[in-house]
Amino acid sequence: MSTLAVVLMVVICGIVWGGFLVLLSWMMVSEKKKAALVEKGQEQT
Amino acid sequence: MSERFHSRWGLILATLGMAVGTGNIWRFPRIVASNGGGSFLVAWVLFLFLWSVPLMIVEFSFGKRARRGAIGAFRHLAGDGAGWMGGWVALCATAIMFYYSVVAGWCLRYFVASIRGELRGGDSESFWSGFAGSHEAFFTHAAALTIAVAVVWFGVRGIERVAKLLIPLLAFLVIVLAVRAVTLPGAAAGLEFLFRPEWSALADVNIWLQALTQNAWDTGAGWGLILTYAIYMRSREDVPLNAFLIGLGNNAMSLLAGIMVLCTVFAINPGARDQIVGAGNEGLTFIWMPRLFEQMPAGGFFMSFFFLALSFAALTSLISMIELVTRLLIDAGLTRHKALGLVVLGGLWFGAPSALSLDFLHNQDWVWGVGLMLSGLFFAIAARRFGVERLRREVVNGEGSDLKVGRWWSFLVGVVVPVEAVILMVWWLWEARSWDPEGWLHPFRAETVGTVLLQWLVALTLLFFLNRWMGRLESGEETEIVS
Repeated sequence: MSTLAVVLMVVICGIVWGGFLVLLSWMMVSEKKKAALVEKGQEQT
Repeated sequence: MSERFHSRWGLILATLGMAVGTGNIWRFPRIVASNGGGSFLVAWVLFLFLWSVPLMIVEFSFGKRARRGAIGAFRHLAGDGAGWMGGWVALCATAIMFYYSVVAGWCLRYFVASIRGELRGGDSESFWSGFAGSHEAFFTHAAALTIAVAVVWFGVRGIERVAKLLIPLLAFLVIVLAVRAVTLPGAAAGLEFLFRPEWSALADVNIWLQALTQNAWDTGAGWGLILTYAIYMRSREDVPLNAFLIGLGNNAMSLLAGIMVLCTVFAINPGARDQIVGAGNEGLTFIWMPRLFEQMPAGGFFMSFFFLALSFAALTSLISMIELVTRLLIDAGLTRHKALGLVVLGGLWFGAPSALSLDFLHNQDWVWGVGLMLSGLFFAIAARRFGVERLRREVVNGEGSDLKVGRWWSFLVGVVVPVEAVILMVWWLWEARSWDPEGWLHPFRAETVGTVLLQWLVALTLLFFLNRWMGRLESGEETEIVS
C-alpha cells in the first residue's frame, strides 16, 4: 500500500471508528453519573 | 403514552439498527469504488457532519418534544398547516417500507440458500433470475414482513430486545467478514483502492453529490424514523451526543462493509473489478458475492455469514419503518395491534408489485429515494418555522443533554441543509435525463423524471388537501371513525 493510502486510512478510520468509540465511552460515563445522581436522590428522599 | 425505551443503550442500538441497512453493505462499497476511492471518503465524512448529524439532531428533538409520529410532530412544532409536510415524510418512509420488505425477503432467502448449499457449484445468475420477481419472492416478502411485525407487536420493548441481540451480532458478523477479507492474499490491493486518494477527483462535483447522497440514504437522517424512535426517549435523555454516536456508528459499519467487499473482490477476482462494481446493488450482492465466496477457502461458511449479516441489517431497518407507520395509526386512535393488522395487509398488498416485478421495485426506489431529499428539506423548513435557535436552546441543549451544540448547528439546519436538499434533488433529476434521453419525461417508465414528477404531484396534492383531515384524525377528533 502506498504511504498516502495508509495515511488516509488512518485519518478516515480514526475519525469514524475513533470518534464512535470516544463518544461511546463518553455516553457510558455520562450514564453512570446520571444513575449515581438518581441513586443519591432516592437515598435523600 | 407510557411506552419508553428501558435504557439509553436500547435507544442507541434500535436507532443504529434503523440506520445500518442494506445500503451500508451493498451500496456503499460499490459507490466508493466507482467514485474515486479515498477522495470520495473525504467528501463522505464531511457530509456526515453537514447533512446527516444536523438532521438527526432535528429528528431526535422533534420526537422528544412532540411525542407524536411524523404528522403530529410537524403540526405540533411547525403549526397546523405543516401537517402535510409530516405526511410527506411518513409517505416516503411507508412507500419505501413496502419494497424494502421485499429486499429483506431476498436477503433471508439467500441466507437459507447459502446454508442449504443452493448457491454452490451452480450459476448464481440463473438462481437470481429464477428467484427475483417470482412468486417465491412474494412469499419471502411475506416472511420478512411477518418477522418484523412480530417484533413491533411487542411494542418498544420488543424493538429494544431484538436490537440488543441483533446489532451486536451484526457488528460481530461484519467484523469477522472484514477480517477474513483483509487476510486474503492480495487483499492489500483492495485497501489501496479504497483509501488511495485522487486529489484531482475532488474537483469533480459528481463525487461530492454522490457522497452527500450516500449520507442521505444510508444514515436514515430525514426519513422520520429517528423521530419515531425519539418519541420513546426518556425525558432526561440527551439529543446531540446520541445523534453523533449513531451517525458515526452507521458510517463505521459502512467502512467495514467497504473493506470487506473490496478486499474480497481484489483478492479473488481483481480482473472483474469494474464489472463487479458496475453490476448494481443486486448484481453485486446476489450474483457476484456468491461467486466470489465460492472461490474462497471455507467460502460456504463465510457466504452464510454475509447473507445473515445482510438479513439482520435489512430486518432491523424494516422494523423501524413498520414502527413509523404503526405510530401514525396509534396517533389516529388505533390500538397497536389493530394498527399492525392494517400494516400487514397494506404491506402485503402494496409490496406485492415490487416482489413480482423488479422494474416496479426500481421505480419505487427511484421515486421515493429522491423523495427523501424533499423530506430532509421539510424537516429543515419545520425547524425554521418553530425557530431553529429556540429548538437548540429548549430541546437540543435542554434537559439531559451531555453535549451542547453551538450556533453552527442552527446555521447548518437553517441554511446549509435546505441548500443541499435542493441541489441534490435538481442534480438527480438532471442526471436522470441522460438515462433515457428520448423518454425522460415519460411518466410510466421505471426511472424517468416524468415518473417522479407525476407520483410526487399526486402525493403532494392529496396531502395538501387532506391536511385538515389528517390534523383532526391525529388530534383524536375523528378517533371513533377509524377505530
